[in-house]
Amino acid sequence: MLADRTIVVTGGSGAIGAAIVRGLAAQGAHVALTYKRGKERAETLQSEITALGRRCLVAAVDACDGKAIEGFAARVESELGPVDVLVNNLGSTQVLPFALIEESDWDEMLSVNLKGLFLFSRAFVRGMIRRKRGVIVNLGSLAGHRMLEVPVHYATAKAAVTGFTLSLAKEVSRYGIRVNEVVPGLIKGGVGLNVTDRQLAAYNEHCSLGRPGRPEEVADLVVFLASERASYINAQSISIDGGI
Amino acid sequence: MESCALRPSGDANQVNYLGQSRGLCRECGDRVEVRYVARGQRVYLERLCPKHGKHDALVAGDLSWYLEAMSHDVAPCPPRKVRAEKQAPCPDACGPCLFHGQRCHLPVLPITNACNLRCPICFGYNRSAPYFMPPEEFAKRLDFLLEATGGVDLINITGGEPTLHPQLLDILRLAKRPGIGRITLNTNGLGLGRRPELAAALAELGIYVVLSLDTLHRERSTVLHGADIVDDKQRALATLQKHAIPTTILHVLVAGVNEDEMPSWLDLLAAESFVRSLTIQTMTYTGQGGSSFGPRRPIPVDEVERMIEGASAARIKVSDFMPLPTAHPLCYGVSYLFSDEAGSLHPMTRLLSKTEIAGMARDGYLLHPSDESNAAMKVALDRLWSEGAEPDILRILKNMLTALYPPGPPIDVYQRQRAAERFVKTIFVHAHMDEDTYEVGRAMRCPDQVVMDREHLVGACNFNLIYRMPDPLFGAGR
Repeated sequence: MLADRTIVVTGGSGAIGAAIVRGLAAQGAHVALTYKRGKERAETLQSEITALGRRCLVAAVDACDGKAIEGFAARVESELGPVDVLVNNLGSTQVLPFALIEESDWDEMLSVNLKGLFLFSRAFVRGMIRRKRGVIVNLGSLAGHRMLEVPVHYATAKAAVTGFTLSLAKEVSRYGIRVNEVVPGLIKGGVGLNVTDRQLAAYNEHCSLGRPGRPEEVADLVVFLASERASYINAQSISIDGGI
Repeated sequence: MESCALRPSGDANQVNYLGQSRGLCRECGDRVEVRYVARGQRVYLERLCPKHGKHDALVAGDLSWYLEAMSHDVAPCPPRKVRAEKQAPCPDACGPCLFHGQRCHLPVLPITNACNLRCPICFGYNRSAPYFMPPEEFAKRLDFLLEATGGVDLINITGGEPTLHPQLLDILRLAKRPGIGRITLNTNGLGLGRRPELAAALAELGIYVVLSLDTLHRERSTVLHGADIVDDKQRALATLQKHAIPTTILHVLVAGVNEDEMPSWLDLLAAESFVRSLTIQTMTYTGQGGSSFGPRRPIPVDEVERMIEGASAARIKVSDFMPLPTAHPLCYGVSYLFSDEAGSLHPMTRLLSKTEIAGMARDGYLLHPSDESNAAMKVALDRLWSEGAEPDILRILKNMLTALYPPGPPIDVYQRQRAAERFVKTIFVHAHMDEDTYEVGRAMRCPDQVVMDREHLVGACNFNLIYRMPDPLFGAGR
């Protein structure tokens, strides 16, 4: 499905990111992944991917550092070849009620979640425009689409992923670049690990399937959108939440 | 115990009978009638022994406090396993009996009767031929404890002086097993200061230390401990700090001796991150040393709370204390406090009601946040923020949330518990009973229970006053 494609996954060492990396590699892709704190996990994952016969590059990249991201993009193209797909997966949250969110928290949350989205996209879209093909998959969140008990700054950033996806798709689809958003609900191993038993029960009550999702289920959707089988899917926000 | 409702009149001569129960005669040990009586604002326990006459002991310095404390909700939680059939009235069938009103929240496990001090205030008994509990026996007692309780938040390993036990570390390793949360170790600190490798081992094992610290005055040390051990205490504190061992300061408050040192203990609690808790234990005039220590003046819980209010310049008020929900109000008062690295303490009552706090403390000594308490916390937090009140508490709460939910992969529940402990400290005021203040209504609600053998959990004061004496290992042997 993705044989010999070169794919970048940001935030590839977390639970969902690692599942995406594994899913892409399983379909034949070479993967470059970034991490912030999960060096050990990233390197373990790298060994796992290379054992499959794929090439894998890992790098610690600050999502708010444009120069570092440009450098990373150049390194990927140099070591793995032109990038076919970018998966903007990285994200961060803080568990803070509205009353305790200060200006610095707001700036940091929007910076990590949105500036990184913008900077990574800009770094890789340039080559995609030149080649007149490419795919971008952005990871949003149910928090940006529904009234949930989540930190306001995180929900705001994730809601913005939808607007970013729509407008970028409008700009670049003329070059054969598709841009879509995956909108996960509560996923085991993700930020969902911070939910309380009551929050989990409430989620399950409102979810038709009555359970949180698995990282591999999100990965399957990302793999599909990254592939040519999704060639007519563009500018969409696709929920994967068990039916809320 | 019968009780009647009344309002404090303010008349110093007015006598009100508050209730009747049973207690002990100090002279003959007989079980005798006792009654709670208010004389003006002060509440006494009066006992009447047919052989030795009438005696009274102060149990509350303020009638209003007493009435308010007695009206608090209790956490009714009967023991999971009791002695088969009640054979005699309390305290003579303890084990506990089926009439006991509280499960064991603080199991106390003495592992030796050896001690390197002969404190005149001690309520234990040192023996000339020391006993060191074999680890196998300790393990059997733990088996019984877990069977009897189904698991506990914490255990307390004590002595004598447990650090003298040659197999202490083996025993501590045995205690690290499923069903046991926090392991606390009582010590007078002499071993910590003199054997630095011991502190390193305790830190490695994740042990919490309960350090006896009654005075930092040399003359008073001799009065209380029979020797000047101030330097040892200072060394112990430095060692605990160096190894960042979570520590409870256990301070025995003795009327006429060390009451003026309260500010030091509060400062220590506030300033040092390794000091997580302060327990003020009022002098109990019983046991090898304590029974002959004088002058005999029991200090009730509310008097200690007033001392703390004075010593803290009202930063911590009497109203910031509440009865521990799992114990009798005359036995335990507690104040939970938010704390930060800057050395400030802020009573949790500024944020939550006592009922809400009690809801988190219904399972013992440690707070167990629930969905209800979390919801109450959020509402309270919004209230403070909207009113612009208590900015320090808001800052501490934010730091705590950031520590509980760090960036990156979530931490596990134990790491989270440890992280939270840095921000919530406690002051317990604990009044053990002696023969003068003993009353079965208090004994029957005791959550501190001594694992006396492989089949009995005995309330701590019942043990100290009745069961310890004939115990061949930990008593006077008679």
